[in-house]
Amino acid sequence: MTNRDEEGAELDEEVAPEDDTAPDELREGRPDWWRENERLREAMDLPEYRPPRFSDGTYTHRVTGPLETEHGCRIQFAGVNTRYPEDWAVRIDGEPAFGIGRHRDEQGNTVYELAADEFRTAVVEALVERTG
Amino acid sequence: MAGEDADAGEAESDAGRADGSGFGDGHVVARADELADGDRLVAQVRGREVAVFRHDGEFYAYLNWCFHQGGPCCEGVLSGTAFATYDRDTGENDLRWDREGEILNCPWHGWEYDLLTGECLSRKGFTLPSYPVEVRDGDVVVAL
Repeated sequence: MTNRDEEGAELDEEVAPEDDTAPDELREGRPDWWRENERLREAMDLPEYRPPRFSDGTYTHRVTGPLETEHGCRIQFAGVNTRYPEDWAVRIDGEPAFGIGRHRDEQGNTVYELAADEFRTAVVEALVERTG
Repeated sequence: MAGEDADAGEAESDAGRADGSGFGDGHVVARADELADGDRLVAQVRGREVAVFRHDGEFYAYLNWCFHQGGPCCEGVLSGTAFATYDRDTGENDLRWDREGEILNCPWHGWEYDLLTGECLSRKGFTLPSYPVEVRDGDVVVAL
């Protein structure tokens, strides 16, 4: 099954959360927090949950996890004293590395304003710069 | 939920987990010295956004989803709110501004939340999900 978001971007092998008919074996590939967040949104009577994603529709955790493993670092998205929709910072091992734009879609789910490949490149460049 | 003094980030993977017993899944979100009193940090943790506020030496952590339409309620202005009273005997109204710096305003539609309790002041019966926070070895750790 190939999954695409509303812009037509491919969503890796994971099924879109709105696809309740997806086979269990595909849904089982999701991290445990995905279902927790779905339950939370349901309890708050909010629109359907979808994990934070990049501008091309790729979920962030599908990118940060492999990058962290490959480079032995910790990647975070955070903002200090930010007001929506000001940019956040991508932090590598707790240190701000580069800014990243973001917004919430109509469902209240976060979309970062970099494509997955752009994000990977920015992280690698930041790591290179850090090591001099 | 309030925690002791501290600091904070996000951790989608287990790499950011602090190993603490009795604290659920602890996630380091910042260093304690990054957050002065009155500061806040919002971080992506396990696919959701969690805000940590430092107020009067205490830490409070809430989910950054407004009950109204899922807006970033923890990234709005911190102000006070107007409290109104009505005296049935005299028929007098009193309107006063109070709790300055302790009321969160969602930037989307202005829903208000009490920073100290997470209680929604715009709709009775709703309280923002909160998380335990503690400072551990100079790190701000949030338990989800």
